[in-house]
Amino acid sequence: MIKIKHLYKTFSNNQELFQDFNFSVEEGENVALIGPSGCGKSTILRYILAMKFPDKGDVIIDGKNVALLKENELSQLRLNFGMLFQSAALFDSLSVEENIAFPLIENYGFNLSDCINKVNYVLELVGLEGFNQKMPYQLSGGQKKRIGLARAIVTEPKYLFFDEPTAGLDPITTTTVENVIIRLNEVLKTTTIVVSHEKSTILRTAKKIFMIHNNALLDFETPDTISNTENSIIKDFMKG
Amino acid sequence: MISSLGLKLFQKINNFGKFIHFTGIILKNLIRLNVKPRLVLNQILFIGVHSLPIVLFTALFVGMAFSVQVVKELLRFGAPDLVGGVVAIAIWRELGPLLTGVVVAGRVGASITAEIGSMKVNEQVEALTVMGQDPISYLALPRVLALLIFMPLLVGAADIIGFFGGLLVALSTSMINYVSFFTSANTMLSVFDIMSGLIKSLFFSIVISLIATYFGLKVKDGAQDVGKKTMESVVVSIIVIFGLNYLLSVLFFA
Repeated sequence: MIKIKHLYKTFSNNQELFQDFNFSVEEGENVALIGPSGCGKSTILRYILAMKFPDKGDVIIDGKNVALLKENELSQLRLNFGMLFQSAALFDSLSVEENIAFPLIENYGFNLSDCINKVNYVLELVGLEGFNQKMPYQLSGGQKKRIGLARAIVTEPKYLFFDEPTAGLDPITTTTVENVIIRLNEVLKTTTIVVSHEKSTILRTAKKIFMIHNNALLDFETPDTISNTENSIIKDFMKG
Repeated sequence: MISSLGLKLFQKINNFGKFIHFTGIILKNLIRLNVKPRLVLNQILFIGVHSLPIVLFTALFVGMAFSVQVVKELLRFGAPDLVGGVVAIAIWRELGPLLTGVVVAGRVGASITAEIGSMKVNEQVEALTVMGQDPISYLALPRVLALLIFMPLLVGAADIIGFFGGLLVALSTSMINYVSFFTSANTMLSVFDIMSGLIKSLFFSIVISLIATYFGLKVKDGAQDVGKKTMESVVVSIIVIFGLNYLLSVLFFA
C-alpha cells in the first residue's frame, strides 16, 4: 500500500507545489493521476520512488517511511517497483534483450542466457516477439515505450508506475500501448499509478482517477462517473 | 550587486562542497571495491585503448618539435651530447604526463560528461535508480577506476613515443648519433624521473574522471546543458591539471 500524508513542497521562489497533499493507493488498485502541466503529477511519482523528497510530509510504502530508509534499504524497496518513463529511458548501448534483462542481471546476478525465457515472455506480452537483437535507435517511439514496459515488468514488481505512457504517440500506437497496460493489469494484477494527460489513456487504464488542482487532490472519480461529474474543474479538464 | 556577488560565491562554495561529498562517496566505494569488474573492463577498452592512437600521435609530434628546439640551441652552445638527456627529462618529467592529461581530459573527460549528461536528460540515470542501481557506483566508479588503471599505461606509452620522436629529429642532424643520444639520456634520466611522471598521471586520472562524472551527473536542462557541462568539465579539468602539475613538480623537484 502507498500512502502520502500531509505533503508540503515550496520552491525557492516561494511558489507552492503541494500544500497538505494526501493520497493513498490500496494494493491491486489501478489509479490515474491527472492535472494540468506543472501541477506535480510526475513529482509525486518521484516522491514515491524516493528519487526526490518533499519539504514536509511522509511517503509510506508497505508501512515504511521512505525518508527514513538508508540507501541500501531504498535499493531493496525499489526492487518492488517498475517504472515506464516518459522517454522510455532505454540504454542506448544495450540491445532490446539486454535492456529488458538489465534488472535481472544487475540485481539478481543472472546471465542473459539464464533469463532469456523470461525476456521472451515479456516481449510476447508487449507484442514485440523477435525484437531481441534490435538496438534502441532502430525502434519507433511506440516500440521503445513497449520495450520500456517489458523492462518494467520483467521482475514482476509489486508496483508499476507509468509516466505519460502515451504522450507524443500517434492514435494507433497510443491504443496499442493502452491495450498492453490493460492486458498487464489483467495478467499481473499489479498495483499501478498512471500519470497522463491523454483522456483515453486515463479512462482505459485506470479504475480510480484523481486530479491535482491548486496544490491538493480532488475527490476521485471512476471512468464511469467522470463523464457526468459535477465537479466543474474535472469537467473542464476532461473537456480539454 | 554585492548581494548577487555574495550569492554567486555562496553557490561556488556550495558546489565545491557537493563535489567534495561526491569525491567522498567515490572513495568510500573505491575502498570497498563496490564495483562490477565487467563495467571497469568495458571502460578500460573504451577510455584507454581507444585513446591510445591520439595520445601516441600527440606525444610523437611534441617530442619531435621539442627536439627541434633543443637540438638547435644545444648545438649553438656546443653541447650536442646533452640533447638525449634534456629531451628525456622534459618528456618523462613534464611533457608526457601533462600532454596526455590534457588529451585525455579533452577526449575522455568530454565523452564521459556528455554520455552521463545525455543519460540524465533521457531519464536513464533515474531508470538506473528505480532498478535498484546506484548511479555513482554504476556510472562513475567504473570510469574512475578504469582511468586510474589505464592512465599510467597511456603516459608510459606517450613517454616512449615522445622520446622516440625526439631521437628521430636528433638523428637527422649530422652532429648527434644514436649512441650519444642514448648515453646522454641514460646518464641524466633517473628512475625517479620516470616514476614522478607516472605518479602525476595517477593524480591527473583521478582529477579528470571525478570532474567529468560529477559534471555529467549535474546536467539538468536538456541538450544545451549537456553541451555547457561538457565544456565546463573539460575547462575545469585542464586548469586543475596544469595547476596540479606545477604543484607536483615543485614537490618532486624543487
